[in-house]
Amino acid sequence: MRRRATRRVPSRDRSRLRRPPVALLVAGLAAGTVAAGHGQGAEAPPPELTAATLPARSLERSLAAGGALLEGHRLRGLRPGVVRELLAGEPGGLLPLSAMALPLGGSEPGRVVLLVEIDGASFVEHNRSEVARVEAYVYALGAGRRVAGHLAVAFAVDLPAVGEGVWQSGLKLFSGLELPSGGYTLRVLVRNHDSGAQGLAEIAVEVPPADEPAVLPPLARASPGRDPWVPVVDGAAAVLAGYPWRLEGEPFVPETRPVVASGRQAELVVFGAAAGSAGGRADWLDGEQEVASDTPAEIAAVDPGGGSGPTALAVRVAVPELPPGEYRLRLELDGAGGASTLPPAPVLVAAGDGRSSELLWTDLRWLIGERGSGPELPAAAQRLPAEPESRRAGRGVRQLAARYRAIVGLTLDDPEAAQVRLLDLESEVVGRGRREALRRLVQAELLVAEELAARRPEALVAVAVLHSEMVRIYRGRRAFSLVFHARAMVERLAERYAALGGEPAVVARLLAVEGGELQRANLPAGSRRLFARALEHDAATPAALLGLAASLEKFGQYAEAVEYLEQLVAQLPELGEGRLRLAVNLARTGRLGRSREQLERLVEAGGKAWVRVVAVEELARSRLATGDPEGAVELLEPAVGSLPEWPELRFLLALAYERSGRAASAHHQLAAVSPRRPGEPPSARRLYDEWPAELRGELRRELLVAAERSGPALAEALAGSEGSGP
Amino acid sequence: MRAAPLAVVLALTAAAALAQVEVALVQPESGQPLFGPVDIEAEVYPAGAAVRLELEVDGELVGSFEAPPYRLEFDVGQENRPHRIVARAFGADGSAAEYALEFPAVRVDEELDASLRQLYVTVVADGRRVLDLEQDDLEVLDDGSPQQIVTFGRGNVALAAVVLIDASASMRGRHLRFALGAATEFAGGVRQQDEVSVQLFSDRLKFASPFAGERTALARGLAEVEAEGGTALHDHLYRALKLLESRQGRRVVVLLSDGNDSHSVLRMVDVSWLARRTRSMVYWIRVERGREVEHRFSAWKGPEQYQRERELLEALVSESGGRTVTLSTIDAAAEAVREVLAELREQYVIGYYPSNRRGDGAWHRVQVRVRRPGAQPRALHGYVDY
Repeated sequence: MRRRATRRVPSRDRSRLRRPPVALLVAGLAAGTVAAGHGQGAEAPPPELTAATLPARSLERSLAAGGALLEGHRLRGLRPGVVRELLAGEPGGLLPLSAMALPLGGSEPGRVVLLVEIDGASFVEHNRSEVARVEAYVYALGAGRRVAGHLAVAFAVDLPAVGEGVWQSGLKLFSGLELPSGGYTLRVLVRNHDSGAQGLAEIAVEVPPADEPAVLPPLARASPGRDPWVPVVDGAAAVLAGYPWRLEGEPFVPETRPVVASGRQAELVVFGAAAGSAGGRADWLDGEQEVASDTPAEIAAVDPGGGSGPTALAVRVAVPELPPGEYRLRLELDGAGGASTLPPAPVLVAAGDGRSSELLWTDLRWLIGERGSGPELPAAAQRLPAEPESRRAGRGVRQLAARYRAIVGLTLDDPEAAQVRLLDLESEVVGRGRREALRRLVQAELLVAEELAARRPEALVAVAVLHSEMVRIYRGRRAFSLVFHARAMVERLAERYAALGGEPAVVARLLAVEGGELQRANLPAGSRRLFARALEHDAATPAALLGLAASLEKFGQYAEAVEYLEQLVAQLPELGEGRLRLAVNLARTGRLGRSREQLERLVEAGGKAWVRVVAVEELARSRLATGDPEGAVELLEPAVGSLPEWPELRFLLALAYERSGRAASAHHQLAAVSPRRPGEPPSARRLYDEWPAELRGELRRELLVAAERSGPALAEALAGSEGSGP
Repeated sequence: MRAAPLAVVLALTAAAALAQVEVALVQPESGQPLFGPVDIEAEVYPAGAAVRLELEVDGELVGSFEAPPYRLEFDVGQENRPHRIVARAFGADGSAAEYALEFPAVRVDEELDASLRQLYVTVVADGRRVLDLEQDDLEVLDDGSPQQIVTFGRGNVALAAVVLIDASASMRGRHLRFALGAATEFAGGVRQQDEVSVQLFSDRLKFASPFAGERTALARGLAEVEAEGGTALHDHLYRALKLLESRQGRRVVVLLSDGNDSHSVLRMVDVSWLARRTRSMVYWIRVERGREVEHRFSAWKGPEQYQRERELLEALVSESGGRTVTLSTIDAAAEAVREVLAELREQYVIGYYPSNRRGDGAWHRVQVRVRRPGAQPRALHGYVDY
């Protein structure tokens, strides 16, 4: 469904509205998957968000000049968190952004193209719903922090459809402003409407007077193979008509912060400057704005623009061997009218590891240490057709399938060697950085899996376990695009095995082990989905019960957590962590008597120290809550003696003493707390706050056994499969 | 097959609807003495299972509800005595449930020499501290009664202070570096007669210097601390207040943290009460991390509880006569600490003998007034009468 939004503009501002200089684009990686809504005005309320449906829409947007101080500007109606961040203006946040503002020149007020890139992995990680609703606010601050213009944009991203693309390449917002000539700071804030995660970036832009040309920094093209753009308006051609930046006839959108690999070549585009240049020099400026290195720059191509735009020069520069990090690249090009020095452009230099000429975006970000945790994809984004279209498989796919088949065969004799060879194969394919190559790999692997399954469905277990092991191997290497691929394979193979009547317990374990991995990477949404699906196949999967309950608990769904924990405790009564979580959540849902029973059992039973510590604390707290500080003291005094390495017990004992009127004893307890020494554990409550780990290792061992058990079936299936002969 | 989890949840919900009604009091938090207006709130499980809910305070029915929210404000008075609050729920099926909490009186059996009340007062006009006031410019009211000021001075009372720094994982990198810079700044301003300790915490105590009045002793070993782990702010603020309780002088805690506690075994209300008892001033150098707060979760609490606890901390700070300094960037931490230290050195110190002292543990509200237009005083809001 397509819809056109309306923009509400107070009448006194209508005269200042102009046709937007460029249309709004929000880009994802697959077509028809992003929806946008609403524009802005100086007095406009924040965008009204609707749960977007497909296909994508973009809407009118514009600029209106204000003139008030940002503090005095009408931020009325915006959420307090948004206002606070906009006023504070401190760059950063959970949604890392980079932005670029490029003045077009030749008009007054001047048109400024605005590009905002939102880190995809962070976006997916901090999202809570399948259709992610996003708001973007931009304030242009002129002299004295006066608002010269602003805009607000809302759009929605259908993650099941484009999750993979968003995760890998990020979200790109392409918009524009009209501003009078002068210098501005643009404050850009992007917010996930549902989760509240925000990011803020601040950039400077100098808008030239109408009679002066805009001088732009060198621009880097987003690689079309890696980063296809999806126009959100009616067709790309209409959007890009009149768009000035083209090379060889094709319009392109620059990257706000390009990544270049150390020791390689990088290509940049220069517009409207240094006509007739034969080359020049690239200065690489470090954080102190000192030249860390300089390398030659040569002109690779010249596009005269054909009257529809400025002359474009494709400039090739050698990237020096610099330590990975952020730099600014300043180009100085010789020309007929003398040397031109362009404004510097921000670049990220990543280590070139020789693996591939085009490293994946996400991997590069890892190399320069931008990210703290692995990526996660929403459910539907991970699914590819379970039935590979083998008849249409091309030669390339068949060749890949043959290599993959041999690797699967190797698992029978030498599983470790099979892992090494699969790593080589998948790294080689995915390392090319092209989605088409990844698609061929998936097609080839599923083709082989389908052949095997047709002969002996149990063979899929061994193959799924191979990919499950690869998840951990890739994670150890921080190759997150491959982690994603391997996990998606496990899931596909498990589901296929289930569809063919496979053992539900094995299917559940395959899914639960990946759920545990996602949880360990602190990606609860994906892990919950996998745990839930594991329980659909086998409702008695302990790791899934515990993992899912811990996740529900963390998001405040205590009653639901209790239900899963009851099942777990019934199955594994000796698992202290399960009983502890049950007790804590029973208390949270008002069932204090049952909670107390569980806690008392834990204190008496012994078991893990941290579990006992929390149990004692919870019991003591309940005694304090019912006005029985002496009862709490009775419980805590022996616990402090028997569990001396857990000082948190002393804090609670001090409180109990205080409530009993024994202030000096309270002081004594707290004075005895000493700084943590190496080797001492973190606090018990922090351990409780971590994701459950106890059952994960066991699950993996069970899977390795299952894989071994399915070995004969795999051997039989391979013996009869395509290409198995000499 | 995929619909099964939903089916499970629905089945459980249906089962819950047939369960007996249960009730719990969620406010006020138990264990602390109660004074004045108190928010009382109960919850019923399963939700909607009660046809009536009654709230009782000290044996008196104070509210009856037929539907949620089961919430009211009730004034329990200023007298120091124990209280008992009961929530009673009645289910449609005839079942009933009761939940009672006890709230003790303040213990007054400790021997404390507290006949002279000292107030540390900061006066501000037009954003600047006012430093030229005379004794007659100030007026003190104790529970509304004007008091005779018997001592008056400015700035020469020794400090007993703890500089308490959050060194959890969220402070990694430059945050901790600037925080330690701020601590060093404070240490550089201490005088020989002061007793100051620098302490760093995460979910565990990480560093604690001895109480000292010279910079070197305070800063020794500080640079080796790394930010890691969770956050047990309440536990360590409680400990700092308790350690100050036994020290003479102007008791001050300078807290540098975002105020988000995830792993304490103590609650903010426990800390608030101790702060009142010890009459310590708390200055909170608040490291603003607003973007993360709105969707902060842990196994121990959700965003609303984080928010509530930060509000309680803010109230504690205000009530103590200290103030919250919000940093928009961590780079400003040292400047903020310098400013706090300057404020402490320039405070007015007023002493009076309360005319209405009873030693019954009741809460006395204290107001300071300034007889100068536009001048605003800031001081302790009250004290417990031992």
